[in-house]
Amino acid sequence: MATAVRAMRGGLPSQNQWSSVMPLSDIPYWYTRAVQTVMRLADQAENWDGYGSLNIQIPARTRANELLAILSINGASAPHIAPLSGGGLQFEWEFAGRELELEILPTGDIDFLTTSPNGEMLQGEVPDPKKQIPLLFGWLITGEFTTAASYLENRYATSP
Amino acid sequence: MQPRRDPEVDGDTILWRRLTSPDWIVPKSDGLRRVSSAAFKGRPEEIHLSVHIADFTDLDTIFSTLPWCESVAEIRAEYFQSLGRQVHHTPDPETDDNSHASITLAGNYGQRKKDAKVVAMKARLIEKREVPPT
Repeated sequence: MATAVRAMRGGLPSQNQWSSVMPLSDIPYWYTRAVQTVMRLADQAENWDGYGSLNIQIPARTRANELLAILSINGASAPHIAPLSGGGLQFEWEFAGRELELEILPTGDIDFLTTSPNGEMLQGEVPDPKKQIPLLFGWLITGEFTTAASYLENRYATSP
Repeated sequence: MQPRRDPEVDGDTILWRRLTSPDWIVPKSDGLRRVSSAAFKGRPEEIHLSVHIADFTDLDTIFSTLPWCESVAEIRAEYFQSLGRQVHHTPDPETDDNSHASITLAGNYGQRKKDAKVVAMKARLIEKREVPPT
Protein backbone atom coordinates (compact mmCIF):
# COMPACT_ATOMS: atom_id res chain seq x y z
CA MET A 1 0.00 0.00 0.00
CA ALA A 2 1.34 3.35 -0.85
CA THR A 3 0.28 6.88 -0.69
CA ALA A 4 1.39 9.72 -2.84
CA VAL A 5 3.02 12.75 -1.39
CA ARG A 6 2.83 15.75 -3.58
CA ALA A 7 6.17 17.45 -3.38
CA MET A 8 7.61 20.72 -4.48
CA ARG A 9 7.72 21.37 -8.17
CA GLY A 10 9.66 24.59 -7.88
CA GLY A 11 8.60 27.50 -9.96
CA LEU A 12 8.31 25.52 -13.16
CA PRO A 13 5.21 23.73 -14.31
CA SER A 14 5.49 19.98 -14.16
CA GLN A 15 4.16 17.46 -16.60
CA ASN A 16 3.50 15.03 -13.78
CA GLN A 17 0.71 15.32 -11.29
CA TRP A 18 2.87 13.64 -8.65
CA SER A 19 6.56 14.28 -8.40
CA SER A 20 7.20 11.53 -5.89
CA VAL A 21 5.50 8.60 -4.26
CA MET A 22 6.31 7.38 -0.79
CA PRO A 23 5.21 4.12 0.81
CA LEU A 24 2.83 4.70 3.65
CA SER A 25 5.18 2.88 6.00
CA ASP A 26 7.89 5.43 5.25
CA ILE A 27 5.81 8.44 6.20
CA PRO A 28 7.01 9.81 9.52
CA TYR A 29 4.67 9.55 12.49
CA TRP A 30 4.33 13.31 12.76
CA TYR A 31 3.28 13.99 9.18
CA THR A 32 -0.49 13.60 9.52
CA ARG A 33 -0.60 15.61 12.71
CA ALA A 34 1.47 18.39 11.13
CA VAL A 35 -0.88 18.57 8.15
CA GLN A 36 -3.79 18.82 10.58
CA THR A 37 -2.02 21.60 12.46
CA VAL A 38 -1.54 23.59 9.27
CA MET A 39 -5.22 23.06 8.48
CA ARG A 40 -6.27 24.18 11.95
CA LEU A 41 -4.13 27.31 11.86
CA ALA A 42 -5.20 28.16 8.32
CA ASP A 43 -8.85 27.90 9.32
CA GLN A 44 -8.50 30.59 11.97
CA ALA A 45 -10.48 33.74 11.30
CA GLU A 46 -8.95 37.16 10.82
CA ASN A 47 -7.74 38.78 14.02
CA TRP A 48 -6.86 35.36 15.42
CA ASP A 49 -4.04 37.00 17.37
CA GLY A 50 -6.20 39.76 18.81
CA TYR A 51 -3.94 42.34 17.17
CA GLY A 52 -5.67 42.52 13.79
CA SER A 53 -3.75 39.85 11.91
CA LEU A 54 -4.92 38.54 8.58
CA ASN A 55 -5.79 34.87 8.53
CA ILE A 56 -3.16 32.50 7.17
CA GLN A 57 -2.98 33.26 3.49
CA ILE A 58 -3.70 30.58 0.90
CA PRO A 59 -0.21 30.68 -0.70
CA ALA A 60 1.33 30.18 2.75
CA ARG A 61 -0.98 27.26 3.49
CA THR A 62 -0.23 25.64 0.15
CA ARG A 63 3.50 26.09 0.55
CA ALA A 64 3.36 24.75 4.11
CA ASN A 65 1.84 21.50 2.89
CA GLU A 66 4.45 21.25 0.15
CA LEU A 67 7.15 21.85 2.71
CA LEU A 68 5.80 19.12 4.99
CA ALA A 69 5.99 16.71 2.08
CA ILE A 70 9.61 17.64 1.40
CA LEU A 71 10.48 17.35 5.08
CA SER A 72 8.88 13.94 5.37
CA ILE A 73 10.77 12.65 2.35
CA ASN A 74 14.04 13.90 3.81
CA GLY A 75 13.66 12.24 7.18
CA ALA A 76 13.12 15.43 9.12
CA SER A 77 11.78 15.36 12.66
CA ALA A 78 8.48 16.92 13.65
CA PRO A 79 8.45 20.70 13.28
CA HIS A 80 6.79 23.00 15.73
CA ILE A 81 4.34 25.01 13.64
CA ALA A 82 3.35 28.52 14.68
CA PRO A 83 1.14 31.10 13.02
CA LEU A 84 2.62 34.50 12.19
CA SER A 85 0.83 37.79 12.52
CA GLY A 86 0.34 38.98 8.98
CA GLY A 87 -0.75 35.65 7.54
CA GLY A 88 2.35 33.44 7.42
CA LEU A 89 3.50 30.29 9.17
CA GLN A 90 6.70 29.31 10.93
CA PHE A 91 8.27 25.87 11.26
CA GLU A 92 10.96 25.47 13.90
CA TRP A 93 13.29 22.85 15.32
CA GLU A 94 15.87 22.70 18.07
CA PHE A 95 18.61 20.09 18.28
CA ALA A 96 21.80 20.00 20.30
CA GLY A 97 21.74 23.74 20.88
CA ARG A 98 21.17 24.51 17.23
CA GLU A 99 17.92 26.04 16.04
CA LEU A 100 16.37 26.22 12.62
CA GLU A 101 13.38 28.33 11.64
CA LEU A 102 11.63 28.25 8.30
CA GLU A 103 9.27 31.14 7.80
CA ILE A 104 6.59 30.84 5.17
CA LEU A 105 5.59 34.34 4.18
CA PRO A 106 2.00 35.20 3.26
CA THR A 107 3.14 35.15 -0.38
CA GLY A 108 4.32 31.56 -0.06
CA ASP A 109 8.01 32.47 -0.19
CA ILE A 110 10.23 30.74 2.36
CA ASP A 111 13.01 32.24 4.49
CA PHE A 112 15.33 30.43 6.86
CA LEU A 113 17.12 31.45 10.04
CA THR A 114 19.72 29.26 11.71
CA THR A 115 21.03 29.94 15.20
CA SER A 116 24.23 28.24 16.36
CA PRO A 117 24.95 27.42 20.01
CA ASN A 118 27.27 30.46 20.13
CA GLY A 119 24.43 32.72 18.99
CA GLU A 120 25.65 33.19 15.45
CA MET A 121 22.77 33.56 13.04
CA LEU A 122 22.52 32.93 9.33
CA GLN A 123 19.47 33.91 7.38
CA GLY A 124 18.33 33.91 3.82
CA GLU A 125 15.75 32.84 1.33
CA VAL A 126 14.83 29.32 0.32
CA PRO A 127 14.02 29.66 -3.36
CA ASP A 128 14.49 25.94 -4.04
CA PRO A 129 13.26 23.98 -1.01
CA LYS A 130 13.99 20.60 -2.57
CA LYS A 131 17.70 21.42 -2.67
CA GLN A 132 18.06 23.62 0.39
CA ILE A 133 15.92 21.87 2.98
CA PRO A 134 18.21 18.80 3.14
CA LEU A 135 21.21 21.09 3.59
CA LEU A 136 19.56 23.07 6.34
CA PHE A 137 18.33 19.98 8.10
CA GLY A 138 21.75 18.40 7.75
CA TRP A 139 23.20 21.39 9.55
CA LEU A 140 20.62 21.09 12.31
CA ILE A 141 21.47 17.45 12.96
CA THR A 142 25.24 17.49 12.50
CA GLY A 143 26.25 21.10 12.99
CA GLU A 144 28.27 20.75 9.82
CA PHE A 145 27.72 23.12 6.97
CA THR A 146 30.45 21.53 4.94
CA THR A 147 28.34 20.84 1.96
CA ALA A 148 25.78 23.45 2.78
CA ALA A 149 28.27 26.23 3.45
CA SER A 150 29.64 26.66 0.00
CA TYR A 151 26.15 26.73 -1.38
CA LEU A 152 24.74 29.08 1.20
CA GLU A 153 27.65 31.41 1.83
CA ASN A 154 27.73 32.40 -1.79
CA ARG A 155 24.19 33.68 -1.47
CA TYR A 156 23.56 34.84 2.04
CA ALA A 157 25.13 37.14 4.56
CA THR A 158 26.27 36.01 7.98
CA SER A 159 25.67 38.11 11.06
CA PRO A 160 26.70 37.98 14.69
CA MET B 1 1.03 71.95 18.69
CA GLN B 2 3.92 69.70 19.62
CA PRO B 3 3.51 66.04 18.69
CA ARG B 4 3.14 63.76 21.68
CA ARG B 5 6.42 62.16 22.72
CA ASP B 6 5.97 59.11 24.85
CA PRO B 7 8.80 58.49 27.28
CA GLU B 8 11.21 55.63 26.70
CA VAL B 9 11.25 53.11 29.51
CA ASP B 10 14.27 52.09 31.55
CA GLY B 11 16.18 49.02 30.52
CA ASP B 12 15.35 47.08 33.64
CA THR B 13 11.60 47.51 33.12
CA ILE B 14 9.78 44.20 33.04
CA LEU B 15 7.50 43.82 30.03
CA TRP B 16 4.81 41.24 29.31
CA ARG B 17 3.96 40.27 25.77
CA ARG B 18 0.58 38.53 25.51
CA LEU B 19 0.89 35.11 23.89
CA THR B 20 -2.44 35.28 22.14
CA SER B 21 -1.79 32.07 20.22
CA PRO B 22 -1.06 28.87 22.18
CA ASP B 23 1.05 27.84 19.20
CA TRP B 24 3.57 30.51 20.18
CA ILE B 25 4.63 28.18 22.96
CA VAL B 26 7.11 25.51 21.91
CA PRO B 27 7.35 22.19 23.79
CA LYS B 28 10.98 21.20 24.29
CA SER B 29 12.43 17.72 24.30
CA ASP B 30 13.24 18.02 28.01
CA GLY B 31 9.56 18.56 28.83
CA LEU B 32 9.88 22.29 29.39
CA ARG B 33 8.24 24.89 27.19
CA ARG B 34 9.67 28.02 25.63
CA VAL B 35 8.44 31.06 23.76
CA SER B 36 8.59 31.05 19.97
CA SER B 37 10.13 33.96 18.12
CA ALA B 38 6.80 34.14 16.27
CA ALA B 39 5.45 36.04 19.27
CA PHE B 40 7.84 38.93 18.69
CA LYS B 41 7.72 39.48 14.94
CA GLY B 42 4.51 41.42 14.65
CA ARG B 43 2.84 42.08 11.34
CA PRO B 44 5.32 42.77 8.51
CA GLU B 45 3.59 46.04 7.62
CA GLU B 46 3.37 47.21 11.25
CA ILE B 47 6.44 48.50 13.02
CA HIS B 48 5.12 48.52 16.59
CA LEU B 49 4.72 45.61 18.95
CA SER B 50 2.36 45.90 21.92
CA VAL B 51 3.50 44.90 25.40
CA HIS B 52 2.56 45.77 28.97
CA ILE B 53 4.71 47.23 31.71
CA ALA B 54 4.42 44.79 34.58
CA ASP B 55 4.67 47.52 37.25
CA PHE B 56 1.44 49.09 35.98
CA THR B 57 -0.72 45.98 35.79
CA ASP B 58 -0.92 42.41 37.07
CA LEU B 59 -1.34 38.99 35.56
CA ASP B 60 -4.98 38.66 36.66
CA THR B 61 -5.77 41.78 34.65
CA ILE B 62 -3.79 40.57 31.65
CA PHE B 63 -5.52 37.19 31.69
CA SER B 64 -9.00 38.68 32.04
CA THR B 65 -8.91 41.43 29.42
CA LEU B 66 -8.67 41.58 25.64
CA PRO B 67 -6.89 40.39 23.64
CA TRP B 68 -7.31 37.00 25.32
CA CYS B 69 -4.30 35.01 26.32
CA GLU B 70 -3.43 32.33 28.83
CA SER B 71 0.27 33.01 28.96
CA VAL B 72 2.72 35.85 28.59
CA ALA B 73 6.34 36.19 27.63
CA GLU B 74 8.25 38.14 30.24
CA ILE B 75 11.14 40.17 28.92
CA ARG B 76 13.20 43.13 30.03
CA ALA B 77 13.13 46.31 27.98
CA GLU B 78 16.89 46.13 27.64
CA TYR B 79 16.57 42.97 25.54
CA PHE B 80 15.15 45.09 22.74
CA GLN B 81 17.09 48.25 23.58
CA SER B 82 20.40 46.42 23.33
CA LEU B 83 19.42 45.56 19.77
CA GLY B 84 18.89 49.23 18.99
CA ARG B 85 15.10 49.19 19.35
CA GLN B 86 13.13 51.69 21.39
CA VAL B 87 10.51 50.88 24.00
CA HIS B 88 8.04 53.65 24.82
CA HIS B 89 5.40 53.87 27.49
CA THR B 90 2.22 54.43 25.48
CA PRO B 91 -0.84 54.39 27.78
CA ASP B 92 -4.01 53.49 25.93
CA PRO B 93 -6.77 55.94 26.84
CA GLU B 94 -9.40 53.96 24.91
CA THR B 95 -9.08 50.98 27.20
CA ASP B 96 -7.89 53.00 30.17
CA ASP B 97 -4.75 50.86 30.12
CA ASN B 98 -1.87 52.69 31.69
CA SER B 99 0.41 49.68 31.33
CA HIS B 100 0.54 49.67 27.55
CA ALA B 101 3.95 50.08 25.95
CA SER B 102 5.14 49.91 22.40
CA ILE B 103 8.32 48.46 20.97
CA THR B 104 9.54 49.97 17.73
CA LEU B 105 10.67 46.99 15.67
CA ALA B 106 13.30 46.98 12.95
CA GLY B 107 11.96 48.25 9.66
CA ASN B 108 13.95 45.59 7.82
CA TYR B 109 12.00 42.37 8.24
CA GLY B 110 15.11 40.21 8.04
CA GLN B 111 16.64 42.08 10.96
CA ARG B 112 13.34 41.89 12.77
CA LYS B 113 13.41 38.10 12.56
CA LYS B 114 16.87 38.00 14.12
CA ASP B 115 15.79 40.39 16.86
CA ALA B 116 12.73 38.25 17.56
CA LYS B 117 14.89 35.16 17.90
CA VAL B 118 17.34 36.85 20.26
CA VAL B 119 14.55 38.11 22.49
CA ALA B 120 12.63 34.82 22.41
CA MET B 121 15.71 32.98 23.63
CA LYS B 122 15.82 35.26 26.68
CA ALA B 123 12.08 35.41 27.35
CA ARG B 124 10.52 33.74 30.37
CA LEU B 125 7.25 31.96 29.85
CA ILE B 126 4.52 32.67 32.40
CA GLU B 127 1.40 30.58 32.09
CA LYS B 128 -1.99 31.09 33.66
CA ARG B 129 -2.51 28.72 36.53
CA GLU B 130 -6.08 27.59 36.94
CA VAL B 131 -6.99 27.35 40.58
CA PRO B 132 -8.98 24.15 41.08
CA PRO B 133 -12.40 24.69 42.70
CA THR B 134 -12.54 23.85 46.40
